[in-house]
Amino acid sequence: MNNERFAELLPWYVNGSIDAADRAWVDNYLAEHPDARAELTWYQSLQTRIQETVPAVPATIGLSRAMNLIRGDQPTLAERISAFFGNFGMRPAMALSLVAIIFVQGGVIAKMMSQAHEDEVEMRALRAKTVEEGPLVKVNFAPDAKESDIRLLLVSVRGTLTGGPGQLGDYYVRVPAGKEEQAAAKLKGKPIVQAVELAPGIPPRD
Amino acid sequence: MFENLTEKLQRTFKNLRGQGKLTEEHRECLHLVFYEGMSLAEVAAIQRCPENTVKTRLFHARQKIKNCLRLLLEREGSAPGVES
Repeated sequence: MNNERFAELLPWYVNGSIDAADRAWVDNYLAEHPDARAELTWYQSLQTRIQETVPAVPATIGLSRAMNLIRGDQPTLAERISAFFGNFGMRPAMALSLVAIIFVQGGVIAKMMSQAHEDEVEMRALRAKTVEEGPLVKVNFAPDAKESDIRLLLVSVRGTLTGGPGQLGDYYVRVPAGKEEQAAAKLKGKPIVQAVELAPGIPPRD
Repeated sequence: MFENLTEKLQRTFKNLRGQGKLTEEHRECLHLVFYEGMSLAEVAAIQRCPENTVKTRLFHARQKIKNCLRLLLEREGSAPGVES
């Protein structure tokens, strides 16, 4: 029973997140069971190795790449189209031709149907204005920040990238409502973060 | 002895990652615990699972690493202080 508890507590003892009472219990257990030190050493070695085998990431990490990393590898639109038509045993070029034919036919039919109302209908292309509403956390990462550090840091505050990087390298992160200040405080303490502030939203582009 | 063990662990860890023997959940769990230094409750919240699941994932990850390490040591004809 004691052995099971020791095994359960040891990872948290090694990573330093254990509370004082449990830490004292583990210390006491280690003092009484010198053989258990081997397990402690093993976990400490594992922690060292994990911290040293984190892959580096170029400093020029862009929003699309960061988003893909956070959301996981997702197929591109072309890959999805190819996969969809591949299910019907069609080659991509043939599939695209078919899409083009359907598109043209659709356009002809729509034109015929709308001709009667042509004079009454005025269509105007409007510029879409999609500005993310805040509050958001504006973060500036260190140029040498690693991809995994950024990803894990965002996960730790349950944040999602919604914009950036801007010309100054600012990223806009959405965190759960009401947790913005808490998240900002947590991010501020991290060495890969250069600056953090709350933002009312992503400024619209001119 | 300690350096020897850590070198073998490093190779073992790379092997496990390369061969995909650690699942995404296992790798994330190890990362959150030993890289981020998160508590059990924090890891459970991030992985959206009960705390017992986190403990189980850690246990299985540990077993897989140790098994791989044991195979490595057996292949090299030495087995210093590695117990499952």
